Amino acid sequence: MTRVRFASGLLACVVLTASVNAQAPAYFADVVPLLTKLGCNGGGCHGKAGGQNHFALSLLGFEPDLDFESIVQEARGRRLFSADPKNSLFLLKATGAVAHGGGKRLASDTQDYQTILRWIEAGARPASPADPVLQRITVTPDRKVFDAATRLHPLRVTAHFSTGATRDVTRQAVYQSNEPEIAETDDNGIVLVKNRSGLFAVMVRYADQIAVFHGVVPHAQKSAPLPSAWEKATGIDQHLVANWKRLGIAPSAPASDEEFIRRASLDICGTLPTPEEVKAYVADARPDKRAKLIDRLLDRPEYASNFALRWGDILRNRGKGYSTRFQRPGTAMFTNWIRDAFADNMPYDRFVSEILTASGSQETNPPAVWYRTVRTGPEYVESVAQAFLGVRIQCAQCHHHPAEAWSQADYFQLAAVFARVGRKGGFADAEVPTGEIIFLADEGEVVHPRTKQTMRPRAPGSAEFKLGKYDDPRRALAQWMTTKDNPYFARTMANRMWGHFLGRGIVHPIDDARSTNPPSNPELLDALAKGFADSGYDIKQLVRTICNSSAYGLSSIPEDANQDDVQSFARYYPRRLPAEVLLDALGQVLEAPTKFRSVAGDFPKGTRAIELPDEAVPSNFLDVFGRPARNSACECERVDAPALGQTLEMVSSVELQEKLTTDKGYVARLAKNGQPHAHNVRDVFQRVFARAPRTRELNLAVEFLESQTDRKEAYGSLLWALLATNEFLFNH
Amino acid sequence: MRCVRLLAVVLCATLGSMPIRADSPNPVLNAVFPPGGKAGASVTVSVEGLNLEGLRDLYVAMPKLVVTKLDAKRFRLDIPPETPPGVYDLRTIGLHGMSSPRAFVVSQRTEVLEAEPNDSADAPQAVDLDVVASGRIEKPGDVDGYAFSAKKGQRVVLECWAERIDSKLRAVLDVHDSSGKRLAVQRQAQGVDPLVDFLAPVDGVYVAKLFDLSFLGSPSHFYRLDIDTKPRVEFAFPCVVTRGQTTRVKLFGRNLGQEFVEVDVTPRPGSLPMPMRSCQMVGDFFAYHLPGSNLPILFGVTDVPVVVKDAAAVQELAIGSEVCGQLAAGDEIHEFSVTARKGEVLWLEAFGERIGSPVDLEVAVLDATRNEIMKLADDVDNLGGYRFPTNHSDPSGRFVAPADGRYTILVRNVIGGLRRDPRRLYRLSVRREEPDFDLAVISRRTDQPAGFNVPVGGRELLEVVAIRRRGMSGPIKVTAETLPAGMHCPDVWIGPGQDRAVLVLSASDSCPPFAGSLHLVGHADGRVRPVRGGAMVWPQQTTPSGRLTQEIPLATGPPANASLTATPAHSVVYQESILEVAIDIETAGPLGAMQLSALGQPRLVGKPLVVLASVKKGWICFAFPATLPPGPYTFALQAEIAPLNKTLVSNPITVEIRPARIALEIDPRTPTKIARGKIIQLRFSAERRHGFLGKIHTELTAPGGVAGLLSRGVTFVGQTETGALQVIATEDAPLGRQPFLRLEAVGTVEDQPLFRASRFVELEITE
Repeated sequence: MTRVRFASGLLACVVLTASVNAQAPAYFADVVPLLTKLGCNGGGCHGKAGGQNHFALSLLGFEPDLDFESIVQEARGRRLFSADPKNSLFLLKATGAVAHGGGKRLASDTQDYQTILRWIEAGARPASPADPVLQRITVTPDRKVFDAATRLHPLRVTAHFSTGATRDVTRQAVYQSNEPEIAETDDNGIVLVKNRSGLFAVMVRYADQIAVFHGVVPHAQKSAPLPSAWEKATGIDQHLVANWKRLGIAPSAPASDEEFIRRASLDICGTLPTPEEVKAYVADARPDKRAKLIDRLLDRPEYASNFALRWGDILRNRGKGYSTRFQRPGTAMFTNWIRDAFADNMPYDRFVSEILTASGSQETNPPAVWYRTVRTGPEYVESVAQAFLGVRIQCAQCHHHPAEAWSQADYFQLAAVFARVGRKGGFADAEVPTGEIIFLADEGEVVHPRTKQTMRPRAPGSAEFKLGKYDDPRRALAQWMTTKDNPYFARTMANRMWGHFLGRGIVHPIDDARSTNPPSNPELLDALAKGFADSGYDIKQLVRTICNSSAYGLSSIPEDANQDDVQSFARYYPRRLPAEVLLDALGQVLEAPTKFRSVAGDFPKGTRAIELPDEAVPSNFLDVFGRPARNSACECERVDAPALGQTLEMVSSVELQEKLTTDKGYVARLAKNGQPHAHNVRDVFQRVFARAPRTRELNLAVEFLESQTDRKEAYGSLLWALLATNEFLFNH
Repeated sequence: MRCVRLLAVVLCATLGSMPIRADSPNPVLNAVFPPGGKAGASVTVSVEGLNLEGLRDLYVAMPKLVVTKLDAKRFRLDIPPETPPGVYDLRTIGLHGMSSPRAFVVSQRTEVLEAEPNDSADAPQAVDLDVVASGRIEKPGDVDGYAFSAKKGQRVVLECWAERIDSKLRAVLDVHDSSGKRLAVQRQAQGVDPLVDFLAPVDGVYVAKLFDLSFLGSPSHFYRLDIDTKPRVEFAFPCVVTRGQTTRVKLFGRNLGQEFVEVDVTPRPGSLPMPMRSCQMVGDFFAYHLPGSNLPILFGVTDVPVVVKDAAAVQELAIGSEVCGQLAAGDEIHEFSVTARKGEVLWLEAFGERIGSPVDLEVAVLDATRNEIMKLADDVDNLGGYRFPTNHSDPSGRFVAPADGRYTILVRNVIGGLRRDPRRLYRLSVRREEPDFDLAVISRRTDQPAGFNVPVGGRELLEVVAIRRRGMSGPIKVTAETLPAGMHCPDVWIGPGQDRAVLVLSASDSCPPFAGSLHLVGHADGRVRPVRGGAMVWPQQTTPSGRLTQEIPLATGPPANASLTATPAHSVVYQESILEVAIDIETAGPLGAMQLSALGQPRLVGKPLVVLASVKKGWICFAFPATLPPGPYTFALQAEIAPLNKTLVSNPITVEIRPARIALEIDPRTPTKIARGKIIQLRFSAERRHGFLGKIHTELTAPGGVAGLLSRGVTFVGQTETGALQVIATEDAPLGRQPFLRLEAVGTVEDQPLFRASRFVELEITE
């Protein structure tokens, strides 16, 4: 995998003396990597902000100049004792000869000890500009498929220098597995595979360089036989097949028609299919009925509402605060603009560019509302990086990213893109000012907190933007971002959408792409991203590509051949319905739409939860089931984890109780319709689960209903029980 | 600085039995429905608002309009057929006078009224094309639907007028086909009002739906919805023409049959029946209506030649010209060059927001090496405050050429974004320092919109705000023209460098009822400018909302039975002296606790309130600092009697401020306390200035006379400039601080007292 390097100028000059072993150890090449290896400059020790016990080092040695000052010069040089190097405090602490909060990190009879000792003996020199520069490290092998006989495998790490010299630094490198449940590594680079199958990566760090080893632990020694249809897979399916073969797993059987229409309706439109829709779809004998269904769903307004809801989270369209009534026109306008963008299938590059470069009044230009919640340098950087580039760059605000190439310069140069975002007007007597005018200010700069240099605008990984005095750096950012060869933009959206439909991103988490967190199926992600970019960033086409894939049509029931799979999409991964979708589903099943309170009066009758303008519309149900507060651009803020409150909500919710007992609802209709229980139970199951009841279920339900004297109460109880099942609560 | 003091001495405590009547309630018109009608047709309108009791008539500045009262809040309007289409102001006239205005649109299209229920998807109201539907989003969550038929390819423009006609509605407009599929939606196009330019895909019935963005609703959420296939003009290019000349312009819009229509326009004075925001009080406009189109558009009018931005990279401009350009692309930059000599003064003024253009302009001046040497500033000064915001984002400024040479003027839009928008017009005037000004008169009320009602036998106080342009700094006189019988409006002065003054209208006891308009003009530096009317649109909004009115309305209000008279001791006042103003409240009834304050006093003079209890006569003193530029100033007094809910306004006080001739200073070592029966020396200096050589007489004085203190005045002659007054406290001198005590110096020429200076004396009498 191509590794893109974004190291700052300072870190790029990490050097190694080629003849280091023969001569005195070099500070950058020998000493700093040791400090990392020994954990001295880790986040839990001297590497944390402020250091430890008055001794501060940069995190993982990314600021070696500063570290040199701390070790050699700080406190009048008390840490090194050149007259008797062995009695240097630096060594005495590390060996535990004197009390050390971090314990004994180094034995005096080791080569590492000798390296540091010799460096002190030689005068504890800083790096020389003449020293060779460490250019990269490589790990050998860089990928491997393990088998039952091979549970251990050594890695060899080689450092490459500007002089052309190489050196084995396996023992000095640091290793970290991204899937410790599948494989671990020891300090010497030995990979230990555990009993679980799957894909894993090992991040290898030496000095400021990172390399990645990719491992595959197959499910079985022999590939499980694939159904013949899969052998002829085309499009993105072929990439899935290749991965399954590599992992030795086989996909689950295709989902039934009932399962598929329910799944697609919920994923695309956030809406349950009606019994009539299910019946018509099942009866449809056309071979392309799935594609037609997907097209129909994409044409429905619920599709736009469903994705506007998700993007309202990502774009932090917040209405909370005591001044919700002042915020509401803005949040409503922004939500509607997002909804229109999805409904009209606005190209994604246009969608993002409109937001990034939004100017003018937040009362008349909806994308400018993004700047209402996103207001500060860190918020600009982190929202842009996470939402549109799929990377988490927060760490680089304070220090070099520990697992990626992002430096503080990357962070603050991206912040500089927004330094000239001006604000004026608006109503400030609110928690968050609203109705501001966003404009390109004449001036504005961002200063690197350490170097105090004024940062010139650029995107992470790009060259500095060439800007005239009157140019808006945001336009340059948007232009860079939306070029076809941008390494992040299309991939991030493709991954995000894959994650939405398949329950897990190819890069997981979906907004944490980095070389040390590789995609589980790089070829699949590349194909999706390329297809997305080639289509002109056509979002509906991307949805079609994903939803028409065979993976999306798999059953959620695991089989022996994919029992452990949580990465390769060999089955559909079930997940709980999002809060808004669930509430709407309850309303739909029970024919009792939820009433939502507006800032004055109610929202129009029939307003659905997925259509709400912001997260500030009061609803305990939505909050309990994980509606996010929109405090960050991370989709992870939307929680789908189970909680006791959710159970209680299903048991004792006023909301649900009202829907079950209303005289105008489905329960009341069942109670009054005079139909036999069996007839009604079939209708209930179609409505709740999009399937007919099994014989046992039918008998059990009828038996229960017949045992009750109050028909309405009985149907209410039956529905209540069914709605509390995982089969209803989950998309599967 | 202690600038204003008041001495109140109870001279008349006789309490009569006739109470003062409370202030008449302020009639506020919130909504008129329908908010428009067709020229040549009759329309029945209902009005809603506050304090609209006893309505007897409506007032619209529309010749030959016939208004017939139908019941308490309904009227029939017979709109003359010759009435030009446009947006007019409608006001009610009732028991409490004339109300604040609401927009009333006269169209040349068929008018239909919303017929509820039309809010369900399957029950929209059927309407024809080329109609204007008037409706209301009457309650939260309400949705209004209108069904119309269109042929395939027919271009139907649906434009909602809400915010622009004073409605609270923040409208969303969408269009659906007969299957319910939404084909188009708009939430903001003309400001915040939506416009859908719809091309019918097939022959069929389409439904337009209107609702509030936040799903709010009330009778004040009214609207007009144009469903139109006829010509509509949105803007013209150029959008400014030279006064007295005929100019060929291009009109852009919709359903014009081509991209634009070329017409010749000649500015003519007349009414401006289109919505204008308060910041548009600057400059001159005239309205032009393309026959057959829906409504007129406004052109700017200038006294200098107009040039149109051409394709040149840098276009040469003559000093004394105005350019009109179009920044359609978001990052477009226009450059102009001017040649100026060292020290030459230019005034650059851009118009963007003030001509309704969706731009935020930035104007910079570059030297020959393209260094930016000046950037013009937005006008952030809001003279009208919450009720009439005059601030805007259009930059202007004074440029002094640092050397002979060519200078580049750069114009760009800092809110351009990515989309092109041909409506992004601007004007840029490049002129010499030719002072000019613009005036508007607004209500003094800050809590509610208000009309201008003068109580019979009483007074109404208005506020005149002035925007000074191109170096205008001198005094501006505001004069009322053609007042109705029985009404009076003394001339008032907006002092040098000041931006406001009060205007006091009074009606005699015998003034006949009146409802009409007031014509005010401002005079300064030989220029005469009309005064425009302004009004608040809605109170308690997140951002101020004010607009210009078609004219300045004026009416008589319920009679008053009390008056406040202010009598200044002098009409000529010197800097660094104190003006004593006697106040006299005439009423037969008792007074309660009262707050007395000054209104419209010069900016450099402070404005504390003084609370008095049940007094009818007294004094208020103003100290005029040395920094106040000489010239005429007008201000007035106001007495707020809270228990009676009554506010009295005085006659205007106009004084001429002149440069100080005597600089009077009290020695800071002078004792600030004096015991009864004791003597102190009050030392001071009195320095002659500006060639004054005469005698200076000094003495201790106070409004109504000094109580308990005896002193003999001192006269300086020759070169004497320092002295002392011997002050004796009598045995029965009232204890405490002697308020408003002052040392006054009078300069005489040939024994005539001409010049004055005074200082307050802080002196406390103790046991």
